[in-house]
Amino acid sequence: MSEGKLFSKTKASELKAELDQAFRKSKPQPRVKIVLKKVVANIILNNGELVALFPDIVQLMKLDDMEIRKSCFHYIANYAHLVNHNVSGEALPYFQRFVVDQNPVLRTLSLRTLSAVSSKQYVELTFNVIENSLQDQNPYVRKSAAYAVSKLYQHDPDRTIALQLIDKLNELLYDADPVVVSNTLAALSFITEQQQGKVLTLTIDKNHAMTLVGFLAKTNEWSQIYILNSLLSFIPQTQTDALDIIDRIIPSLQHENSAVVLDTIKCIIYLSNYVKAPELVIPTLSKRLGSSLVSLLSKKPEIQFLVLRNVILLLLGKRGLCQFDVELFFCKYDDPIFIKDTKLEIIYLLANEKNANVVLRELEEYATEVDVPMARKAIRAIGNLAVKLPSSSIHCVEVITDLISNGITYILQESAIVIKNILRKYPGKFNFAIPELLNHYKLIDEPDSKIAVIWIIGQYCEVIDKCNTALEFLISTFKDEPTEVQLASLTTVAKYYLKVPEKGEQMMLKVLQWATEEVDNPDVRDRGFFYWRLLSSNASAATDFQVNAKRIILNNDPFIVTDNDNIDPAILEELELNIGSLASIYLKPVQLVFRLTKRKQLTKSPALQPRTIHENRYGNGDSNENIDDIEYASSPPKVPPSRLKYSRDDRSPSSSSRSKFNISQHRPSSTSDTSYDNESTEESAKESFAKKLSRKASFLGRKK
Amino acid sequence: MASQIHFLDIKGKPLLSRDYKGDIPNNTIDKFPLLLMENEDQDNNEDYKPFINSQGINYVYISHNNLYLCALTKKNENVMAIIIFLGKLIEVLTQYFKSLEEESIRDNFVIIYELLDEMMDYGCPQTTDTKILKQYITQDYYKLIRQTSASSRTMVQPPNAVTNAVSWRNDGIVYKKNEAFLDVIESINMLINANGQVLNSEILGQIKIKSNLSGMPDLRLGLNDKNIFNISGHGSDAAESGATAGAAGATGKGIEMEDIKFHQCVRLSKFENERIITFIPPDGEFQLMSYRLSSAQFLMKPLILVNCKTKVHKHSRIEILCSVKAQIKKKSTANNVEVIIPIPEDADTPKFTPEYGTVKWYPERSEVVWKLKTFPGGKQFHMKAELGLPAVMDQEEIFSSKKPIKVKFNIPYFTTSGIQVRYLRINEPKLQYQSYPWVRYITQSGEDYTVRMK
Repeated sequence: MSEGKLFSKTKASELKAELDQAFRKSKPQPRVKIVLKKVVANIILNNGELVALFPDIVQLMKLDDMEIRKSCFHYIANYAHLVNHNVSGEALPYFQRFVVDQNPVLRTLSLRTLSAVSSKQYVELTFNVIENSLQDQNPYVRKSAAYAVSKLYQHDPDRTIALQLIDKLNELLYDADPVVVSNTLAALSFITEQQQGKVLTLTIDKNHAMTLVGFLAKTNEWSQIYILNSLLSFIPQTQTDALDIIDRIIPSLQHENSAVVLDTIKCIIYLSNYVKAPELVIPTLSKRLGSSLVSLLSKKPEIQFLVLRNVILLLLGKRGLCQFDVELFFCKYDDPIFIKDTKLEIIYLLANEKNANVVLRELEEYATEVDVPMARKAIRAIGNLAVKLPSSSIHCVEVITDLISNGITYILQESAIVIKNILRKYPGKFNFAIPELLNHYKLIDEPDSKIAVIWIIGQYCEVIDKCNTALEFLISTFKDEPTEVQLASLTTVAKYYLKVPEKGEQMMLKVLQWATEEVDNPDVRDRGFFYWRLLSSNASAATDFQVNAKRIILNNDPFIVTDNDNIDPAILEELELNIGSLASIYLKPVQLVFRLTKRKQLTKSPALQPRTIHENRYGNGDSNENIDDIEYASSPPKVPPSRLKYSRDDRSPSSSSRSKFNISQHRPSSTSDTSYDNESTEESAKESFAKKLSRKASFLGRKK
Repeated sequence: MASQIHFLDIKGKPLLSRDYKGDIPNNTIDKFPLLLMENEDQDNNEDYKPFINSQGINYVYISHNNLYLCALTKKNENVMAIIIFLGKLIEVLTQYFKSLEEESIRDNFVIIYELLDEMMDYGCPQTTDTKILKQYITQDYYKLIRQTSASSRTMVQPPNAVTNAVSWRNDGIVYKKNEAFLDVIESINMLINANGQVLNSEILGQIKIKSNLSGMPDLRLGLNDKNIFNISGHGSDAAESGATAGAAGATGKGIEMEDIKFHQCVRLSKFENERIITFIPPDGEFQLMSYRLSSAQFLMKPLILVNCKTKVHKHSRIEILCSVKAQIKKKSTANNVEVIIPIPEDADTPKFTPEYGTVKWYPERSEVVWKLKTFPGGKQFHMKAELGLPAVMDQEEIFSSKKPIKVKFNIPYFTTSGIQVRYLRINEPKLQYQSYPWVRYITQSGEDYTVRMK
């Protein structure tokens, strides 16, 4: 019979009438069942009226029929806390009887229902019967009783401890039935992971750990997960301890259930912390971990995504323990965007001198894709690669200039930023890329890209042919630009003036005037005045042209480096203990996302190895250089994790503007790299400009 | 692990919910539709993630047949286990009701609640094996009562299997004729660039068994896997069938599998130590193992090589010249080969001249599909297609799509890796019956056998 027909809102009074009718028959059960189905349907439909039926439903439990009782339990679990305790108490005598019934299924179900209700009397009764259930002869009941204890702990932790139920639960760990043991472990984990109140920890000794591992072969997939999880409570005292367990759990890497596989990996990674040079002790380990992860990539996208995030985590912290071929992470056309993103990040992490060619070819393919965000990320990745791998940088730059030559807007925006970074890393090496970019200066309109181009012009104006026109164009919209662009423009016109005074003067005056007179933003105004004073005070000194100003304004930026790792090892360590958990998606300090989570860290033991520092650091230089959204820094996130994005806003203020605020840290640059052909022009320019400047300054001064 | 499980319709409206822990307010799920929309409607879908975290609640969900299954949790739980559980839940319910959709949830809500009760306790997955569940949660209670009417007190017992060591099989299975059918299926995924170069490739293999065996049989499977044979000392002559033009797999020593995943019935530690696959099979059909081989080991030429050139005459027509070659042994034949070529959306008036097979245009999918029913190894065929392009369009736009060509095929009696079943020994210690193992091989295209277009 289809239950679909019963699926409609019914009045409580009607249901009651139907029940009464059913009992007029000699065999009420079939009718009662239909009414109960309607009741269950109304629970789904959120029918509040049903509360009124409580006494009637409770009465039905006297019928000796499992199906009826199951439905009654379901009803009681949903409504017992809504009625007053006189009414809800009516059900208790039944439960008292059921938990000692002959039928183990009934014992289990009644206990489960009883413990699910948070009303005081129910909790009370559960406390009374639980001890008995924990010692039930049937394992099916014992395992439910274990969970009932964690429910009691949720309702009333103090009493649960006072009644020594946790100790009882502990005893259950020595149960003969592996399924009971594993579920007890799961139940215990709820209690030990509680952060509030008394903090309890589970520790497992070597013998017990070996017993647990032995259970792996005898239990189903879910029990295996609980067992594997509990192994994190085993603290190896010697290297052999750890290796013994690793040896025994390695086979679980071949389980068909991906969760078992990932938990096994978590366990192995955890234990490997207690082994000196695990990759040498078990040479096949890295290959096995790698390939068992890769084979999960043929699963559904959600699973793939989880696997990929955990691959990133492993690459950041335990690179030596997992071996991957970069080709396996190439994007497929149909991959959802979140998969492509994550794969791109992995490709970047895996890129090295050897596979640079293959990787670049692949990234170039993505860069010309229809999907704009993807294309942009690919370009960024190419740029980051250039910074990361000096030997391949030339190749990277060639690819980028190739892409630029197509003149596609979004490619240009991204390329501008990328080229800026490359120029900073390799000053003077890739000047040929600049004219390519400047050919399309009119198309560059996004603030970050503009900043990049403006900075490039300021830094390289002496080697660029038509930079005057380009700069003229870029600053023409000065007043409407965002602050960062205005700041960058100010700096660049100042540099331009110092390097090419005869052309830069007009422009410089114009911009300074805008900045000081027409812009509301105090930072921009202040910087305007700052340059002004600097340049005008210099003029009065009868030394070389603007020698002091040059020393201050024209200088080298600090190099971009890739080896600067700002991922806190403690954060990585905790994340590694959380492989496969929600935190592994966000790749952020666990406490930021889950405030109430108990902090996990490696427990000290004689065998614990100091965290090895990789010769290769993959956290990239400035935090803004990461191609994706990982914010490893311990700073609080600006956005809630689900909306975490690779955002442009946390990209640095452009390098040029930043350098200004750190002036004191910079080496003054030698002025030798800037030379002027014509001394006389310089002289005259200097003079005329100085005059205007002082005039202006005094005017302003008077005004004040 | 999970605090609540919800079944929701395509709009995110809850159909059926089960609260396991009571630590998250009941109405939390009402926010789901909105969150779902926000998550998917991102203009710059850079934000899009398959999971949602909002105000401390995590929404872990998958979709299936216009349904969402969503688990809520507050804590940093094992999300992989949750997602796998949701998948298994779909699997179980599908096996119970033939198909799982909105209607079947409405029609079976009582039994779904019972199942949810049995499959999860306090949010922890318990049993997700349909065969076991079916023994004590049935749709037809009347039948069950009649069978045991004499002693209705003991009518539903949790089967031993729930807490037994062999949790996937019950005692007392009897077949008249004892047979086991083995299917070795290999799916090939390959990414080929426009020049016919293989960028990456993998073989995803699986061995499926349909077991019609009585009692508690113990099975032992012998493969020509290199690891297995090297260790157990049999390793000698390899799979010659693997030695085709495409598969360089026959290195003379059998094959080395990169990663194998086994059904839970296989004794993993036995395999780890002795490289022997032994197991007590569940009854009926199941997947015994899956394995993966990647190109690092099998630098393969494409099994089906596609060469496709398109020429666009602006504003008028597009010309496609395509050739396919089966680079497999002459003796083998590829069946049902389909070459799916993407074309511009507004193309019309198709004209096809295939040398062999049929070509069809699917305007709704913007594809041209060239079908070749049987394709003997070593042969090559050509096809020419011409379509009109009426709309005014830039050349750039046409090519911006970059959708790759997809190829589908299957090749019977052949495995690309060269894997072979050496033996399947069936031993039922008590019954000692005669049994018959059957083996079948097939290679087919995987979901991603694609050729990039220039």
